Amino acid sequence: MFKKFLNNLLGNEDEPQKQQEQTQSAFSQPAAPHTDQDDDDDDDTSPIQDHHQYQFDPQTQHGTHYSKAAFDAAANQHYEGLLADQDEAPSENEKRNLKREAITQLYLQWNGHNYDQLVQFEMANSLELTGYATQGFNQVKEEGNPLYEPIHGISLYDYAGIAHAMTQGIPEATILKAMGIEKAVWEEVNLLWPERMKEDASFGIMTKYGEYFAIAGEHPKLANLKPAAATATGGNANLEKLKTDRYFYEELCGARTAAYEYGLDGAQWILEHFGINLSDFQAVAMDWMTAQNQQFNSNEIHHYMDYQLQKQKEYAERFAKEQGGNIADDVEF
Amino acid sequence: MFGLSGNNKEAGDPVPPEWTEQIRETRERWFAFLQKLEERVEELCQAAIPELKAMRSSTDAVYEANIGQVWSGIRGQINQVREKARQTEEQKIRPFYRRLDSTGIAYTTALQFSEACAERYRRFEVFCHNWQEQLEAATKQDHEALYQKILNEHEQLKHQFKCLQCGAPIYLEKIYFSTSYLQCPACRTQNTYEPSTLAKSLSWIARDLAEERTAHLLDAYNKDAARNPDLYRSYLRSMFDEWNRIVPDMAASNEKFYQRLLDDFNKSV
Repeated sequence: MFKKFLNNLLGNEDEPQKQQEQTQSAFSQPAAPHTDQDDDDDDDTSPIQDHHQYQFDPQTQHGTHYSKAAFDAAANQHYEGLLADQDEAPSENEKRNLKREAITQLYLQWNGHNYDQLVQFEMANSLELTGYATQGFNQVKEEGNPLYEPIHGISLYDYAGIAHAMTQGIPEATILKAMGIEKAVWEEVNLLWPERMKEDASFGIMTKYGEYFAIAGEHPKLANLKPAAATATGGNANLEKLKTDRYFYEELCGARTAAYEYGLDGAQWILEHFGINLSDFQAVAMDWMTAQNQQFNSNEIHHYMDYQLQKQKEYAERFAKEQGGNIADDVEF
Repeated sequence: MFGLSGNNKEAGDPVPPEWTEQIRETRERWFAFLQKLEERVEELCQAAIPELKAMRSSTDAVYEANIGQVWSGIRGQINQVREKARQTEEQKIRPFYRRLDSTGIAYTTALQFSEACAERYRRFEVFCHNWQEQLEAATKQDHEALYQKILNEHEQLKHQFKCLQCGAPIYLEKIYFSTSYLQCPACRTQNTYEPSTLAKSLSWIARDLAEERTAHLLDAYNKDAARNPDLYRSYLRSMFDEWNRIVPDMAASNEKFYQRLLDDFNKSV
């Protein structure tokens, strides 16, 4: 059986491809994503109910029933106490961790011990608490920061736009012409932006790049370029569904992972069966991640993770069937 | 006197023959099951490694999608086998142990069964891990060999580039790894020089190569990390020196990255 499997991987056998083509329609019309029961379960356990007890500032995620100055003063006092309890002189990182501990303990005390709200607060203030920026909380300030200065006229937004267009399969020459730059300039830009990212200890450039990538399809100089033709019909409809239907998004994430586990090019498989290219898929993924960060709900996250794993398993079974089974399917205890 | 003698589990009463037989049979089935799974993993890997090596040696590309896909598929199969073992352990071995534990049979007997099965399971996991490492090694690019190819290619090409305007030779004084403008020394025309795919890979392998060449310094730090943090600083400096030697044009930005990593480390000690 392993030889058959290996032959499939190495492309020495055409049969699995035929089988895959025959089953395409089944993949194009996925089963109903969820049941009413699922919705009921979510409603029962949603921590959103707890949020009614307190109001939070959308920017800082501090409770509106106290002032930030009062919180900072109390947190500092708590931190000094924790610091005084240390037996040995702490390193800079240990001091930062103690400060974070003081802040989170106090935050829980002052805001009703809501752990999901704490996670959201930590993400909104991650630059201060951990030194790292988090996507979706507008923490990165580009103005006046030399790390964000355009390189040969190419801003970080331009750079994300070019990367987005290239992942869509648009020829490099077409993109560079639309941007008005030559290849030599582009190749230096393409070396230096990643260098800036490595230099940035806060990961702010990478975070901002992710945010820009999510909206890169609207780049004024690149939006009109045509991506490589999708092979499946209804690509645009599927892309719209991917943007609005979280279950559909999770299903395709599971399918892509399963495809890679069976030696298929997962991104190509999604393009062939759903007409969605990698670039658009990743842009939508950024949007879902940002939305998840901004409305952090651990029950929801677990629910969607379980759903994705279930779908991954279903697709894995299909791929295994197409490839003649897994190598140890016949081994029994 | 204190009722301790009534504790059969601690006293280690003889195990009833029917249980002895069940314990032996379950353990042997578990061992045989894992043995069969190992055979399948070994069979797959032995067939795959030569193929992967052949694919790797057929290309100079740093990242080759086909190799990645095949490797991903094989890893997926090994993970399927591991998952099968995990589920079987959860559904067959653990419940049997719990039954043993609850029947009042001598605790040491149940424990021996559990430890023997767990030890065999650990060996199975190590077995799979070792094969995965061998597979990974088969897909790995030989950076030293690739670097030598880049140097050889540069030796061949450095006197061959000519001005598109006047035909005068333009000497390539260094390895260009991105498209660059070169001025003709004769007519001052700006020429665009595009390096080969091989030369372009230099910037991608430079760090890996530098890390491999200074790996012994990192090992020395890892062996004495708690007592001698200076060993890490020494490793980091040497690694970046090596990196800069391979791609001198990147030295300025590399130094900024070095400073960042050094600052990160200093904050942790």
